[in-house]
Amino acid sequence: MKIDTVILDDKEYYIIEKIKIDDNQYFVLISVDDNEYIYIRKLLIENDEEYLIGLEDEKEFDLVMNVYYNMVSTNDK
Amino acid sequence: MENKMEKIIERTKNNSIGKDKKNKLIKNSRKIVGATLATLMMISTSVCLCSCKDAKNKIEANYYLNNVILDDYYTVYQQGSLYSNFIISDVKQKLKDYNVKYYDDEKGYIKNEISDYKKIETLCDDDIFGFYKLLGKKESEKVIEALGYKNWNDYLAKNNFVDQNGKPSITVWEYSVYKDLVEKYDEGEKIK
Repeated sequence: MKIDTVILDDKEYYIIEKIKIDDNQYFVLISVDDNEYIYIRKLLIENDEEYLIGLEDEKEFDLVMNVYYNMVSTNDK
Repeated sequence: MENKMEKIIERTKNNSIGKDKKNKLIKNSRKIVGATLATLMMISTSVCLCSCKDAKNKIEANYYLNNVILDDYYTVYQQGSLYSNFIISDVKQKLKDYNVKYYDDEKGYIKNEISDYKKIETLCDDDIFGFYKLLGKKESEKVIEALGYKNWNDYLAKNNFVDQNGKPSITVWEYSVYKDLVEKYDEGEKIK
């Protein structure tokens, strides 16, 4: 099977999950080279270009983790 | 001493937070085997569970009163998640042996009937966890029904997977299975 990846700073990351919260979309990423390196990024569309940006603060990180937890704890495919 | 999971969570936070982090979205794709994907999912799920305040509250509600040390829970969850891939592999083999499809490359996960799972002659209670991890809670309830239980609650209650209030609890069941897996595989049972 194939899995989508993204390139950040010349390094490749698996897209493990996309999480939608209100109007924002978040990506859960794991490094292809070392699966203990996990990143959460937010999608930003600016002048028709797509960017992945860092989260504002710990509050936003906790929010994403809570929504992700609720997604995986129901665990339905 | 700071445990490994705490380090991973701290690093995940540092990697994720920061307005200076901005990259143009460059998409690609890679071939990956199912077992690797399952492992990646388990790792991200473990990190999510261990860093999520809601999850921590639920774990504390379920275990703290039962005197289970939370650090032990996280260690068991993390290691058990990895070992559960062995069970998932066993379940996949049974599905293959009895020609029960569960995944289609184009359609994704397939919804089966209870009768499809009844075709698996070797189906037993020990397989439930593998089906749960592979197919999700809703689909694996059909496996439970194929084994003669009424539903999830009936299975959990009959096997005494209940919380401190006596209610059937998937969290208690998951912890119990992970704990058994860690004990089993740390003793080297799989390495024969």
